[in-house]
Amino acid sequence: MHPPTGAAPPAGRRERAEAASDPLRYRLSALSQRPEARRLFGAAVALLLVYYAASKSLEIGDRSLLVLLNGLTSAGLYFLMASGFTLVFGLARVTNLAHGGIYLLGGYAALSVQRATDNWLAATALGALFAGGVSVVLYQVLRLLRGDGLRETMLTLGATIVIADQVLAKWGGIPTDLDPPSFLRGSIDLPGSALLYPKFRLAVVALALLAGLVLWVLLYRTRLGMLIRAGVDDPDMVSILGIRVPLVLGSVFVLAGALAGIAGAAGGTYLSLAQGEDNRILLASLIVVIAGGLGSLRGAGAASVIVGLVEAFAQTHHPVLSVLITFGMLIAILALRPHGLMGGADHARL
Amino acid sequence: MRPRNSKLLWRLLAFLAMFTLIVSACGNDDSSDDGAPTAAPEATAAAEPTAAATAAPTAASTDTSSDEADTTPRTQGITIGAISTLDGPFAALGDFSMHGVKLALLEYGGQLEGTDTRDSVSGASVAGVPIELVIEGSDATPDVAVEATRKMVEQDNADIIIGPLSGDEGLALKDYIRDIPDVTLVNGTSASQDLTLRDPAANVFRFGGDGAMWTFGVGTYAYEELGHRRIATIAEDYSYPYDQVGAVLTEFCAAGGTVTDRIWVPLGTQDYSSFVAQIPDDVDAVFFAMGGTDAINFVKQYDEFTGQAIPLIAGPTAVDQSVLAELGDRAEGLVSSGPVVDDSGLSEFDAFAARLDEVFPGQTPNIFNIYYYIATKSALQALEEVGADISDGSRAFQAALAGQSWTTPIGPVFLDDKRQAVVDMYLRQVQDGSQVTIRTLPQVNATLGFDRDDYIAKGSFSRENPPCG
Amino acid sequence: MPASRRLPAAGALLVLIGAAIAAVPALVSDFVLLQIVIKSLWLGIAGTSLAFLIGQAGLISLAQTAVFGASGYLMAILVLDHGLTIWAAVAAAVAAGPVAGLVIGAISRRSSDLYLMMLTLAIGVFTFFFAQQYQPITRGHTGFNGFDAPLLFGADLSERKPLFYVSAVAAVAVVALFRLVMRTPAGLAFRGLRDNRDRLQALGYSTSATTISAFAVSGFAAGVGGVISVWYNGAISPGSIDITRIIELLIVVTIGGTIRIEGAFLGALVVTLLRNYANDYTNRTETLVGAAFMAIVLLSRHGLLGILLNLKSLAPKALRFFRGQRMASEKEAVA
Repeated sequence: MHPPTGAAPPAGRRERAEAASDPLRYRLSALSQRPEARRLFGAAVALLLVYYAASKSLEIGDRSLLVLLNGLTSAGLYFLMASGFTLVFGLARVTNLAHGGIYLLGGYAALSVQRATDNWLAATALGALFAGGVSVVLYQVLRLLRGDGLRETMLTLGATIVIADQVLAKWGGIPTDLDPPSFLRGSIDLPGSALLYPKFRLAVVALALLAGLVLWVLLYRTRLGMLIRAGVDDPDMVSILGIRVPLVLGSVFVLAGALAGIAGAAGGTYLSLAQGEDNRILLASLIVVIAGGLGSLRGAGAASVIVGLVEAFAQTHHPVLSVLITFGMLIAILALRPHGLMGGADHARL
Repeated sequence: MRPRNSKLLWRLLAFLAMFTLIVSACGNDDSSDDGAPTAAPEATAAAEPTAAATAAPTAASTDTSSDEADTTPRTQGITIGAISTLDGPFAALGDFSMHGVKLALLEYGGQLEGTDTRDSVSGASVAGVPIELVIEGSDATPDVAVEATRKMVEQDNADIIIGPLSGDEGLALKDYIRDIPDVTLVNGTSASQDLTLRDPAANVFRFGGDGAMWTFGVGTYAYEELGHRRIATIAEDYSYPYDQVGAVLTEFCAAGGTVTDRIWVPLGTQDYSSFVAQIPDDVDAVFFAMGGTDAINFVKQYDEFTGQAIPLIAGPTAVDQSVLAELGDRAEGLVSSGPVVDDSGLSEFDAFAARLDEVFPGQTPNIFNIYYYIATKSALQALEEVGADISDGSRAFQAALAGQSWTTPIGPVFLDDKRQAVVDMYLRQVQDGSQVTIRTLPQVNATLGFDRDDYIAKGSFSRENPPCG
Repeated sequence: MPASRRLPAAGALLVLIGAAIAAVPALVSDFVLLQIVIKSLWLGIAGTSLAFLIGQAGLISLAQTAVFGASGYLMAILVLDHGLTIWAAVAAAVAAGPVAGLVIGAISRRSSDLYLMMLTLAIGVFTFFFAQQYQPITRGHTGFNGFDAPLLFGADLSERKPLFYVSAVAAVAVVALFRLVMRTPAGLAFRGLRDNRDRLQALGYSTSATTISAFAVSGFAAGVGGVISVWYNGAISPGSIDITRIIELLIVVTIGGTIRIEGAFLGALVVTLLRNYANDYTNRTETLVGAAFMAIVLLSRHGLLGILLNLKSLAPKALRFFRGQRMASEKEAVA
């Protein structure tokens, strides 16, 4: 039933080792043994896909610009969600399935503030603060489990059910939304065409870029960032060095929660706030995080752009099957690269 | 081992404290939040029943004296089970539905037991027989709807089921209820055509329209009055929007119009921008059929991306009063057809609206509270006619129900021989956030005025059906 | 292993289980029999497939509803759209379980841990969307209604008692099958996958082949659960396998505990009871379910089963027993 593979796998490249340990692949595909051939094959497939996308895009003329921008807007929202998620995972090894619930809480908290103050920026700031607070409370509960990954994941799952129901109790189930700030209301004319594009959506892209920049500065130019990066690389060593890991972890949870809260306010403005939005956004950001590689911020950035663009393209050209294409793509990526596009091999021990 | 455990315990306690704090904080906010539908102040709830008790039971009391001597009323009373979507994305609609059910029961001497959606109504009676209300919720999936209904029928001995809310739940409940002829299903807002059109069940009644009936008239109006010749449609990708699009295209194409694109959006889509981008420039109008959050997302995004350069024609629930406030100014001027308008001038409508606001402050009439109200009231009236005697396996009651003909808050209703309502619809337009009548479409039936056999032979509406140039 | 000494014990256990099963319909109302007992049985059967994957092979799969749905849908399609006789369709549907498991295993053979969880989540959601969007086969969002359960030896399975007996027998059979598999060298390999992949590989086993086998074996139970669920509901629709159901199966297994696959039935019973009766006492059922779930996760590594075992202070013994057994069998494997 389980034929031994014979010779020990050649040391060094993990992929080779996996290929050798895998009779199915070994027999089916000689390609897998030759990295250069695989690369050629991959390039050919990529070229075909690009050709297909280009020819389809030419069919609809300047509307392709809309598709591109729509993809980038989604990418922006996904990145706001995915960056926090992936940071928490990279550092604490926690898959926070309550991230969608925190998005919804942040959005609804912002809604309440906006109704009271009529100020979008203040609403978003307070929404982010609230989401960050909830996130750190969750972290305190998770600490009870002392790094038991599966149970931590389950606990966040329970939390997301409770959060969704409490949101329903507090804010009711009628779908609603936030008003954009006055300077971002309305649309601009896209140059060189008769098309309009909403200002707020462009602002979401800018917001995501800003968040990416701030994260980069934080991670690579501050002491906290240094500790976080060290913690991602080798948590044991960091704690041995006498650094208070819980403090670092706690701040990462606050950061991730706040990013989700900002995403909630932004998504609640250009999309809407409603029951079920938490699961929708969680699934989308999971796709991004996993496709990019858990724990990799750069992977999350790249994957959010890819997922956003593919999604917009599929919705435009194959509307009925669009959801299948997005999830099919994730399955294909993970089947071929089990640790995502930029994930490290040992980053997903539960 | 010890210190570890005690620390763990301490954290657990801290967490629990925090959790209760958050939950109770939510609770406090709730009562100060005046707009929230769940937050009817306790005072009104307490004061309400007395008003209800004095105002309503005139009809009931006359009947009690007439029949009660000779019939033997069932000792345990009659149980009505109401089902709607109390969990999941449609939870708000479930709240509306239950408001309607409870209003009808209050007219028969009932008293609210509490302000929450799941709180029942006690003390109602018909012909001296006490009426009990049990409430169950689903999450809009057929499997859960059947389980919830089975619980009411078998565990709570419900004799009459009011509901469900969504189309596919209705089809599943039809199959379930068909096998228990003693129990009667009076539909809430399930708008699937085949609840009554194809393969009807003898104990299933619908006192409202279906998805196609709700959309009646707007296709003809678009062609003849608005002068549209080419339209595109965009709708959610399942049976209820198929019915709406189907009804519009049936009329529009028969009049001579053509449809260029039928865009179907998978359920679960948040961002409509890439679907909006598919709408061609050279159409005269766009018909859209969506509900709840999808309607909000679509109208907002359509507005932002096109400035509504091409006029929209709305499906019935897309601009229902339940979401109209959230759509805001963007919905101004939208034309649709549907069962509920705010300016019908019917005294029944005004009385219903006043009563609704009185019992559930801040609530206004919409398709859900009105339809559930009509369903419950029809059942109660039929019960009254048979002296609340259903000991014959509900035969007499079901016959009386089939014969119901009365003026509801949204106009006169009577049933055809498939126990499907023939009702008035309204061509309407959004003005200042309310639905204003353009024209009343009297006595719309299940086949939209076509010959029954021809209509059924055309097949269920689908992504491609009806065909149209 | 003193197999000879175990035989009479196993026999006695079977008789005991048989007697218990025979007694249930007399003890509970018709409603409870159907909506609590039978529901828990098929949910539990589907749950064992996940409990087996998690507890034995260390593979957290969220694609079990995909297998469950594949079997249920296949049976409904074959009968309602292609007019196949019911038992032929049932046979095909039950066979589809392991096949679907095989496919899922093949796709995810190189994944483990969290990535496996996410990959299988993607497969589960993909299957849901496929059922909802690919109308030529699946009838879209409405799905299949009006499915009549078959006759078995003259007993109508749309009646409660026959359906209960069949479900109970199926549950026992599924558990027995799993227990049998656990004792084979394959079962040993599965535990190797759970405990130490590198060592498993060093011993000459292929982790890929082991993963695929584990998925195939577990697929059988999910398929059986799917078939019975369609008899129970008389219908199947995308709503039967949506994200809520995916999560619910995980909750069932986590509440029950994966230390033994039978925990799935305990979890299914608890979830079914909560779903049916919690709203008689609270208006916030979901909060209660979520909080109960969180509490169980916080309090016990092995779900309710773990708590129960702990209460009887059997846990240390049981753990020692299992560890001893594992070590012994690993020695065998080495030899």
